[in-house]
Amino acid sequence: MKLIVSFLMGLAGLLTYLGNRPGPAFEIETKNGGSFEVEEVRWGDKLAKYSANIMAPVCEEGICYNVNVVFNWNLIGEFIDYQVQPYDPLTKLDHKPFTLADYAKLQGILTNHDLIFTGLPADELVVKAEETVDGYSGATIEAIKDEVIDGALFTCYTLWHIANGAVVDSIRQHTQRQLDKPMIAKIIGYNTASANYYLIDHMSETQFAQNLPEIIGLIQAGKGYFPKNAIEKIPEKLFGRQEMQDFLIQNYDSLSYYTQVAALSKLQNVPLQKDLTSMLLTQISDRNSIQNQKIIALIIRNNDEEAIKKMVDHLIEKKIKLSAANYQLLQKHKVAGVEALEKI
Amino acid sequence: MKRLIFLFLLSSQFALAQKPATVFVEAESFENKGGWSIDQQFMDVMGSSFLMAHGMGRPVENASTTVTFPETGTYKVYVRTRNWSAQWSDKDAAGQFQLLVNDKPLGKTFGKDNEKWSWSEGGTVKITRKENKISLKDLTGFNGRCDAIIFTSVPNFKPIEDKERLTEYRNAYFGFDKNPKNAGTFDFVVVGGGMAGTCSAISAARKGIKVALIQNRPVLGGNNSSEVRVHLGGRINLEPYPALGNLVNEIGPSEGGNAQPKEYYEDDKKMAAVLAEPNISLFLNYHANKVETNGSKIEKVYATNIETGEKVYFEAPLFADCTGDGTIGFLAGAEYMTGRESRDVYGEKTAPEVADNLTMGASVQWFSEKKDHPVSFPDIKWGLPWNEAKAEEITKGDWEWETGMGLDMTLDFEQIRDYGMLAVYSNWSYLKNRAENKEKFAHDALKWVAYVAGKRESRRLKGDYVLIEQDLTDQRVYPDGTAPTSWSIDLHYPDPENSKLFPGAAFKSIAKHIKIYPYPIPFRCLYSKNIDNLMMAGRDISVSHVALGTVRLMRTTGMMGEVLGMAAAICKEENTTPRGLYQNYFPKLEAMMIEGVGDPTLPKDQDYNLGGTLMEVVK
Repeated sequence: MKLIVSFLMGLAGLLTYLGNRPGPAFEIETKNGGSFEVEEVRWGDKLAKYSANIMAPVCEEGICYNVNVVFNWNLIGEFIDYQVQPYDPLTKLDHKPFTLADYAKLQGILTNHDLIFTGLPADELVVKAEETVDGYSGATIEAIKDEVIDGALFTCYTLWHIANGAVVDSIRQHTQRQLDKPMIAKIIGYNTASANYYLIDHMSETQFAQNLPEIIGLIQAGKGYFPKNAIEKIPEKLFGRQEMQDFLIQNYDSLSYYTQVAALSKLQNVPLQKDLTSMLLTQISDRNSIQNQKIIALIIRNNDEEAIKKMVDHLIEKKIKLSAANYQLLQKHKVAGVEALEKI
Repeated sequence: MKRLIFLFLLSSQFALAQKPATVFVEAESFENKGGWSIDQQFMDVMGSSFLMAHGMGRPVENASTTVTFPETGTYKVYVRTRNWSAQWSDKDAAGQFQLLVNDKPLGKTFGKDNEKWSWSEGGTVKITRKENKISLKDLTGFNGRCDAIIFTSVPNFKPIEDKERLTEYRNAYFGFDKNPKNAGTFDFVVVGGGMAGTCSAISAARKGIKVALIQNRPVLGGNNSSEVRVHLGGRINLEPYPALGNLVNEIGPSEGGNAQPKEYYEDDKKMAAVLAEPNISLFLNYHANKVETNGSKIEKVYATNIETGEKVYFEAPLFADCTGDGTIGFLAGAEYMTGRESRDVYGEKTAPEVADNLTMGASVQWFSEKKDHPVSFPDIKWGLPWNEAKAEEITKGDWEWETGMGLDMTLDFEQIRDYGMLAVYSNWSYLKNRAENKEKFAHDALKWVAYVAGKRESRRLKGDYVLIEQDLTDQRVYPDGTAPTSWSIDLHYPDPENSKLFPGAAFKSIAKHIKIYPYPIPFRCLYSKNIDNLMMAGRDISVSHVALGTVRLMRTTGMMGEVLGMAAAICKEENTTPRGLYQNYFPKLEAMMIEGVGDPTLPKDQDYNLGGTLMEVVK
């Protein structure tokens, strides 16, 4: 019996191993004519990350060797980390092996998108003979010395471009093709601006609909222009949903001006709840702005006579001007008192 | 004997026949400038533009002109010049030159006498015909300078030293002030042809209004021109107005890099863009230096031609100060700020405890080239004391060759620029002649040294709002946001190492950065608080010293210009002021900013010097 249990456990282990074992997903060609296979790494049936075994020739001052490393990326193509084969360490100029500090520095380099040397063509990384006072060439240029590992300039350069090159777009497309709710939850869990942007740029209309509360959560926590960009990406018809309008009623004041304007643009063709109209009425400011005109247009289009009347009284009282288009809209509605309003 | 007496009588009769006369010659008006350059950078301070022999150690070609004298006879000669290196060294003089009359040098060598601008006596010269060739012969190649020359036969003539009185004298002599010409009537006058001014003018012109663009150099581009050679920096096409920056992309150079060969800066591209606009009247070589106001409104701006001295005036309902120095605002009595505000003023973390005058400096960049033969360079005596510890074994000086921090960027600017050049020459002369490794530099020749220094900071004109550090770091975004600034808050300080070697007189700088999210600059920072019809774009907008650290980048100042042009068109259409636009017509500006004014179809491949930002990756 014990034997059978052990056998079954062993079999289960083997199956798990086989299930997790990377399977080739696609191939990437490198600029120097080489290539590497990117594999999916799954835990159970869930895609966890991508991985590739990299063999690339690197030359430091004419001495060449093959680097042999395993690279890992997350679901949106961001480089995570690397492993070195125990029998095949990375080396620097004159085949000196990397120190622990060098390995740590390489990890920092491969995940950094703010380096000068990665943006330079390879032939501008070292001082050219004609630019030196003594005709000596090959030294790393001054501006990038601190960024790279001394004696391993081209290792850093080559590996950075592999880690952050064409593979990134391929991974992103590969992920998009199989994007589902659990993967979306996993990407939200990365909790980075680029992950959030990945989602709003790659989700389908249905996926937006299925994950609207999560996306609203991202907007509430979003920094910079993410909230504005997210609002612009959410399909217009979802703005007719109660949860979206409730969100706007509760959070409008805390959104930036530009996010507010983006939201107003999205509301133009959907019916508005009464509470939302009332809230928007209070947002018409004394200072003329596109926001005012968008709110005015919204209230007119929403055709709630009471709200329109209230708005016109407010505009007259505060002497707020109307755009020509809104003026015409109000005239069409034959709202009393329109003549008292001024056009921009 | 008879004959001798006859001759004597004839000559004395001749002498008596010479009516006293004074001939005033402006050096910058010489017909043939030879290798001499016109320098107008300090004319508000010393009274005139002048000719300078910027030969980087090799004497430049003679400048010459023909001068008509009313009478033949003997004239006393005075030359307005200075010994610019005397403020740092009493040994010899850097810029020396001779005056040639009909190709014969006067006995005097000029440029050696006085540390400050003043008249040097040049002895006498006999003028035997009415038309005479006058030439300046450079002897050193080290920035000898000549403002004007006086030939006089008036007994006891004393040339005027006082700057104001001398200006009156010149104006009276040439008749400039009597009838300044009306340059035309415009909807919008833009003063300053750097990135900010050039974009302002093009933007306004494309929005259909008549624009005058006044630039005090022969080229457009300012710090991004081939005269200063600083590349564009910062990002364009950002939220919340992604169409802003299309014009910057249209006129910006394709290649980046500071202190690179002239072609990198594509002066012609900017010029062609301006010339392609029928609504722009371009006034190159005109320096705006006088303003007439009525109450809180500018009515006229006057400008002097830096070559001919001719004066013109411009009338318009609206003006833009894109001078960098806030010159127009200053002349009109606009409120302005300089130096560093103390922490108390705006509560900024990065501001110093106590206010001071430590502005960021001006760069005098340079580079050398390698020749296939050995090249010499003068072993200068008048340079800064130098040694192995001070020697910088380099062949190019970038932005960090920056001087003048703590000095006045307008009043002291000649000294600031000259000190920048002095440092370059001192180092180079040491490398070429005395350094232990001088052999390494044997084939190197100094190819280019800027004589138009690249300023970072001077006056900041006060608007209805002053942008501060917390707005940027806490993302306090206002509804009247316009051009987004994206570069880090990048403030420069004297380089501590260089300061140790040159106490109190560092010529190199360091930069400290605080990264920010792209931030739309409020429109209220782009018009003057107390001059109703004055807007500004560039480094002279309404920001604290700390906030200047980010907005000063040229892609950003160019986008400010795009906004100013749009605003000018709305001001005309609505017959309002910039403040009136802010209060009543801002939706129109928002709509224009959403649409943009540059060509959106051009490739966006000017990806140099974008700078670090907290911008999200939008991919």
